[in-house]
Amino acid sequence: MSADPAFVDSPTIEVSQVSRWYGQKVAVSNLSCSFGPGVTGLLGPNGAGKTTLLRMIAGLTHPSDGDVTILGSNPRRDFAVFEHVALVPDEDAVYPDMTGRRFVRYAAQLARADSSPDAVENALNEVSMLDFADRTIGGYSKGMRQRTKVAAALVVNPDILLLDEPLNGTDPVQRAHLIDLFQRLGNDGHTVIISSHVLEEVERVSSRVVAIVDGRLAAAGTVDAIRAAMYDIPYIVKIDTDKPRELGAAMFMTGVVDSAAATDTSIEVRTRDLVSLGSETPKLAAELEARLTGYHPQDASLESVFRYLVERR
Amino acid sequence: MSQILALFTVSLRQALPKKRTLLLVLLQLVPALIYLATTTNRTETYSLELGVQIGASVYFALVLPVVSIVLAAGVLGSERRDQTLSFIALRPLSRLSITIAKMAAAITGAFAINAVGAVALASAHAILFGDTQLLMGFVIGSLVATIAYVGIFVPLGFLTDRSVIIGMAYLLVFENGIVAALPGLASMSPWRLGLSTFGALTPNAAIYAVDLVGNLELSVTKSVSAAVLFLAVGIASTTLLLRTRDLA
Repeated sequence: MSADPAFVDSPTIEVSQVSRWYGQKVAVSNLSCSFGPGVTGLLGPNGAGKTTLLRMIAGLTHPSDGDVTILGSNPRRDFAVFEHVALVPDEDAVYPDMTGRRFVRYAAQLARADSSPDAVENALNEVSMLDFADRTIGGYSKGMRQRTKVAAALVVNPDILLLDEPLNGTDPVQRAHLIDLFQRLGNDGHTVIISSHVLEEVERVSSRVVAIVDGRLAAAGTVDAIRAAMYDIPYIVKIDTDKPRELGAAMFMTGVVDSAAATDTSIEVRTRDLVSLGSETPKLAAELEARLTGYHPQDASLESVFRYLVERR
Repeated sequence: MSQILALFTVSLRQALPKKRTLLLVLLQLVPALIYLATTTNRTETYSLELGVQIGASVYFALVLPVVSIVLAAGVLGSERRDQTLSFIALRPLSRLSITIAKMAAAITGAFAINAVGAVALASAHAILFGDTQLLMGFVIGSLVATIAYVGIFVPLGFLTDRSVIIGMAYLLVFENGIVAALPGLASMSPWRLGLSTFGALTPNAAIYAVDLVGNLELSVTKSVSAAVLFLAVGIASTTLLLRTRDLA
């Protein structure tokens, strides 16, 4: 087991001090990690740099600095490596005038994979798209296009599967089916990376998570370890009341909050225990005969949690 | 090889959807229709001169470049705009192979459409006067000019969404304006390479086209060499762009 949770023992993908900037904007900053067989969730808020990282791994975007290797090869120079790699991009990289069947067969032909009717049907069947295979992709829903892109990736039988927000637009049944499929591929020894901005989604599909925010590595490890790290965060809550000083002092005395700062109409408190704060605040207000008029968590979003993890790292 | 063939076939189909193909074919018929409308009751000699002049100033100088530019600019440009380039780039295919398949699709598609105009104009003259001498010159000249345009506009189409507008400016301002005034620049004008080839293959009619080719010699070898040079530069620059630029 690797000491640093950002790295795995038998990597198929290695990202070494990679940065990518566009003019003044830094999309990925000095990021190092590795991926191996199994499913890894690439987690982060929108704009965190997940897509840029996946595109650099796939060789579509060149790093401004650092190196990426897939199966020991540089994906921007050694194109033979793409016999073993498939990417399902977030955008609609499909041909609207093609049928789903033709699209999947085209993917197989370009990849020197088995493009026989059986192979194409198997791939379409894996994503439950066989019934719609002879309709043009332009008439598909977002979820159907997503599944067709997944079929086009599967027909190559890739050792490495890169999936950028693959569950976008899918309904709950399709979502469960795809999650099951990705887990099965991971269990079979494929390297599967799934990017998502939804922690619950990643939690369902992968045991290992690499979290990035603002282009930097925020956390890596098991989902449980990342959740534990999140519970360590002091949350800020603004409470509107007519007796801010009295209520703030009472909260501090009971140990529900770490600190409290009062204004004329509200208090801003920091706490590591949102549950106790939620249950104790009305009781204390009742004892003080204070009126509560507002309760506003200030930074509970996933993005702020990730930012905290970056600062802590 | 089967990969390149698959890429070529799909690219060709993408370049020629039904509506666009129909529109471009109709455009190709314009020179022949003009010829038929203006040659009535004329002598064979005058009609030959008219046919060559319409061929030079309408077919070679307008219709052929428009078709070639539109198809060449779209063959990679549309993949970039539609974000399907990543679908192709993420395959065990060298960037040179992608370029060659795309260039071949652009040349095949554009030449197939351009040949319609060449055959229609030459056939109109042949039907009226039983004279088929224009056919080979128009068709081969069309191929030479098409190759040169593809060499220029495939990489430009990859670089910018405005490649067709730039192409029209190149055609109308540079080729049909500046080069007409400065014949020394004629070798930079693809349609003049085609016209030069036509002139070399049709010596009896060449006299009617010679004023339009600038300082180019009426030579198949030299025109084909220049067109191949345009193509080679186009292949090299497109391959380089595919290697060095981020692919959508």
